[in-house]
Amino acid sequence: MTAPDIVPDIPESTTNRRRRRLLVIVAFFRALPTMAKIGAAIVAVAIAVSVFSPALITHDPTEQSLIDRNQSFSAEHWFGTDRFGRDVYSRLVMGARYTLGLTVTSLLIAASIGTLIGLGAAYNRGGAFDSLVVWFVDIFMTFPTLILGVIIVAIFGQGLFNVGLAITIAFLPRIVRMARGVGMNVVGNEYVEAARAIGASTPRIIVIHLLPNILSEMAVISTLWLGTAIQVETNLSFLGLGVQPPMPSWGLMIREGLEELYINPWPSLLPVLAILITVIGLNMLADGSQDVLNPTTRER
Amino acid sequence: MSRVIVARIVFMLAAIFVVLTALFFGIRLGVGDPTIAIQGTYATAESMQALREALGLDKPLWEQYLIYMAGLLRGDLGVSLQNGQPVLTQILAVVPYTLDLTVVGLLIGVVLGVPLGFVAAVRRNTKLDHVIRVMTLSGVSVPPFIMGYFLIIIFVIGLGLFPVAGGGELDEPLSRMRYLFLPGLSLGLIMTSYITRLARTTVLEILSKDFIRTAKAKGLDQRTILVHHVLRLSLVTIVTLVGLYATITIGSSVVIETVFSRPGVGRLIVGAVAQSDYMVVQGTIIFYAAFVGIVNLLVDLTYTIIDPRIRYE
Repeated sequence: MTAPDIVPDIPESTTNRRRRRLLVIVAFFRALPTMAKIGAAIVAVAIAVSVFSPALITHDPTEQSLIDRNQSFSAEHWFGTDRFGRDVYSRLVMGARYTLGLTVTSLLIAASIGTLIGLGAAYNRGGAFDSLVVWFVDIFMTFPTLILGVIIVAIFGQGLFNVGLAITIAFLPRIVRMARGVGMNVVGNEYVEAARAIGASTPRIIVIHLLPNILSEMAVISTLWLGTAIQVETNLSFLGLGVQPPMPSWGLMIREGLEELYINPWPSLLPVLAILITVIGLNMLADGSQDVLNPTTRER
Repeated sequence: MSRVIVARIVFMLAAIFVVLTALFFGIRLGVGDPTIAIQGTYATAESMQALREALGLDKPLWEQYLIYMAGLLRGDLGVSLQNGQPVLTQILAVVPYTLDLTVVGLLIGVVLGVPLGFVAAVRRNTKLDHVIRVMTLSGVSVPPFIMGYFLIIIFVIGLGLFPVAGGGELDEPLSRMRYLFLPGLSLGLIMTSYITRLARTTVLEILSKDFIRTAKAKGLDQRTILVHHVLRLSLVTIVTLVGLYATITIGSSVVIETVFSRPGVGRLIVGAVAQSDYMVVQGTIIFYAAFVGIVNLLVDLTYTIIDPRIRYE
């Protein structure tokens, strides 16, 4: 996807690159179907909550209080408290930071490394490096993301950092494959040949000439995985292999809350709702983006 | 044809070898320690050393690796570090439960998903289509364990119909099915959502093809077009991707088995990871790789039946 594909109506005279890029983004959002716009709004709220979470919380999310156990909604505790007397609202808000922050960061790392590897493979098309990359990708694609995650945890142990690592490694092969496919479309261009002719080195061609051309497309493609990545995080936390107590991650909150589901359902039900709304929002946005970016399927 | 099968099997073995080797060294150099898992954190250094020797973990890594690989060639997956039982026996004991679950999950997914996707595509942008789209979007967004708990709340707590935990007796079909119902349905509903979305997209793509316009132009009725032109063509893509979704199904089964406390390979691997039982982790990974490899092989074979143009020479 290059800019003119989505927005043919931006005048070529708009030479200011930054302004032009902004116009492309605005036009992209305008072109989204209504469902996707709602999705974008949900995602924007979720991101805002996770960015500003320290300012939004009313209590320390890990502070326990025996007298305040399992309270219902009140002015003091907006969403009540869990069985350790911790403020559910604050944990939910902080959980957004852990769950979203972790998955977004991990995917970002996977996307950066994966895009470079995939581009390198595309540039080396049919060569030894390319074959090796394709072979490794095929092998790792054999395993479901969750099972790859479990393997990573088996090797590196549990905890916040390792769950991030698990997500990065689990999605890396998928992103490499995408980047290779997208990269194939640009390596054949004349300016690549021209760059090679004037003696540009391979890393230079890849980073300076190829990368900018696939960056926006890869950014969108990587976002499409975010919903799945959140599921991997919550699933690992649910299995007890993810974020460890007392840190508040949505998956962990559900796991902890389930033990007292009959006494006080809210500490587990609220994070369930949070995950559902966020992931549905992400998937709505992803569906719509795909329609806009892929003109052949736009009719759908 | 046979060349494709051989190539598939060779790739599957290579995949197992690469991942197993990485796992073997990674897990031993990693943070987990089975002796602590067995003896607890208060064990003395001597007793831990003695246990390590008894388990063969004191040998150099390459020697352990050669011993393991030599055993593997004879079909011996080693014994569990935790309970001393042969890993193969442990896995084979729970494989039927996992296969039941994944097969039923995929079956429900295909039986409900393909017709739903078809209807949604043909009735595009009607109310029915919108309802199906919203439901399937929720279906792919819900983590499997949440789907499991929704069903438990409805069927067990609300209606009191099904047992909540366990796997039933393997040799009693009735009890086996009773215990399979809720986990199978959880997985099935999620797979239905994936497959419906896929079938809808596939059918829409075919409906926009030129030969459909030609068929309409020469006056064929809607029914003939749908059955003869669209359905048959869409099946090829759907079979391919159902093969792909078998991978998602087996991944989700890990979580579903935990929710319903159901015996299975997924519960085995999660327990083994928590206890650093290297041998069981290695064995279960072989099972998963083999499962996915066999599914891919079946997909390749199905092509030739559905699409006569595809012939493996």
